[in-house]
Amino acid sequence: MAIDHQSLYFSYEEFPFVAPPELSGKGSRHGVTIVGAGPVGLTAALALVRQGVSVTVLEDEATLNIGSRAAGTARRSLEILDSLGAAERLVDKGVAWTKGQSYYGDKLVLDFSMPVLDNVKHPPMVNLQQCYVEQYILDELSKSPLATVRWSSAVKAVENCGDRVKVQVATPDGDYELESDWLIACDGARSVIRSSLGLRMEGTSYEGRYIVADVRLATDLPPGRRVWFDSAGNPDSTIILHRQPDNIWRIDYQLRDDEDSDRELEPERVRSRIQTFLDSVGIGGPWEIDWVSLYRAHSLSLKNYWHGRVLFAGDAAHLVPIFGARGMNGGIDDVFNLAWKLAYVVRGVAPPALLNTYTEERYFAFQENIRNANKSTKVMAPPTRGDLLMRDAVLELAVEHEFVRPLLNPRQSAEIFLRDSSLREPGDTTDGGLAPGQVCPNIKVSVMTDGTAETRYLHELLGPEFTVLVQRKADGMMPEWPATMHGLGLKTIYVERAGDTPGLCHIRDVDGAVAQAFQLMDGGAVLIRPDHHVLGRWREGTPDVVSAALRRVATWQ
Amino acid sequence: MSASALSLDELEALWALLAERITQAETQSEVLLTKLAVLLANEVGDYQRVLDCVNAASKDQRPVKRSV
Repeated sequence: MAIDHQSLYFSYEEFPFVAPPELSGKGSRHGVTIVGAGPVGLTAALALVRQGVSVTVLEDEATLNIGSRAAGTARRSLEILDSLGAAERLVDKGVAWTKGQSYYGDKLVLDFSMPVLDNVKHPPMVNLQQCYVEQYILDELSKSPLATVRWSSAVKAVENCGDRVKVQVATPDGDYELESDWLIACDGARSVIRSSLGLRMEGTSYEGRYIVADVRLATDLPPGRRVWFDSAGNPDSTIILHRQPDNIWRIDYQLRDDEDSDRELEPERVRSRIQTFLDSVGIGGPWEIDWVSLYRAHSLSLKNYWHGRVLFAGDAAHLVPIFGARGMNGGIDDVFNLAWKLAYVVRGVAPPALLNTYTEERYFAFQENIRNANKSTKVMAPPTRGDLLMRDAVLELAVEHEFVRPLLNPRQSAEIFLRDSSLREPGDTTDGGLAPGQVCPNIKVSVMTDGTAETRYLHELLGPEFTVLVQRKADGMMPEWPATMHGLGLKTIYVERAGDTPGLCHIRDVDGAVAQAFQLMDGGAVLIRPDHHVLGRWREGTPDVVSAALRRVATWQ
Repeated sequence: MSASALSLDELEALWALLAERITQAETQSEVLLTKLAVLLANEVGDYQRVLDCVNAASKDQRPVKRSV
């Protein structure tokens, strides 16, 4: 399959098709098969590999996805990819941003900043074309002998057969059948696997359409999210502008209801509209188009992400409106939640019932994402006449009246607090510290190595399995904690305060950041899941209470 | 008039409620909104404040149109 897109900035490699053993009748049963080598599928593969699980990835194309697509990587995704070893190049290459402006015509109606925390590692949002994100994850995955990616391998059908799933795969050298214990469907919005199993997503599809274009353009506009409502560059409609690396700018402009999608996708028409927009905002100089696509907003989801031996993630499981960057980011969060649970099931240290918590937690996350994304959609593509009237009234009032401006806030993707998860341990604390279900913050800590302190970030200390943070007792006693409980790995990190005798613990809480985040008392403990969510927090964190919590996970019913 | 007397949650709920009622009212939405204005004015109970609101709402902030 030849690559028919000549990118202005990215060198798309054509990955060769390698005939698999199944084509010569020598195939063996696979443990975990992942369908789709987009950012979600590749993250799933990398997260499972980090858990020691072998994976086979099937991808119908011979290269990475074309175009910027999911161009915003949120802090939570950066944290996840960082813990998998794939974030450093992403952050180095990407364009971090924290601010944004919205204009009604040429009048400023919103000037917002996302909170920047000095003691956490990553910025709230980094703009980077999806192809780079995929490349960086793939490069990391390629280092592992546990992962195989089969390019030009299109899944045509799947069938649940008791303790396995049968997968029909079409390749340039012919079709074959693959058997796998488990399959993760990361095959996107038009998931063949979803259709093959006769599953339908439920929810709402919106009428509003956006043309999405990547344009190479040299301008010194600073990074940030800029939106124009009803501007001279797109009258009666909306434009969003984002800076990406390589002098590529992402321009999303809304089509009016009376405009024909096919005509508006014609290159001359796209060029004309972008030129009008650039003229209207005073951006001069030469520019050229790299990639164009059409987007329509959806709020749709499967009710259950686990069917037989098939688990759904990302756009194959749910679709959220583009506004606020919750698509790819939600998908990455999905598979980070899933990977450790599936790894435990594959390794036989937890029962398959644990996978019920994947649907429970990630369907909840979908609802949280949709709650915010739908508010953004009412502003960016009002779905009803009433919403359109309200949006226009708010825009008019926002020129002079500050109180309505928060309604125009884009509500960018943020981490999800799994507040109702049945996996949470109630613990014995109600003091306002980090609650079970919240994500452990990736704060700066002082790590003691051979008696000397070194600054690190907390997530760098967490293990791929469970981690318990234990606050040293006032008497200096630190009980021994086992390295496994009920077959589940457990890493212990001792924390000491600045006033304690130095050097006895892993973390010396010099500035009190750990104490502030966790409200840890002497002998208190926080149990952190492999996906960074807090499982439980105790005032008296004995091995017995943590053992009981882990026994619950290892015997989940 | 810029200070918010409503929380963001309340403003969002108001948006959702009004958008729903306006959409349902179809051609009668102007009457709906006018009745709402009169009812709210009576609730405010201060003619000068109501007058200030009417004047603020009357300001036309729409962008000047230019042809594409």
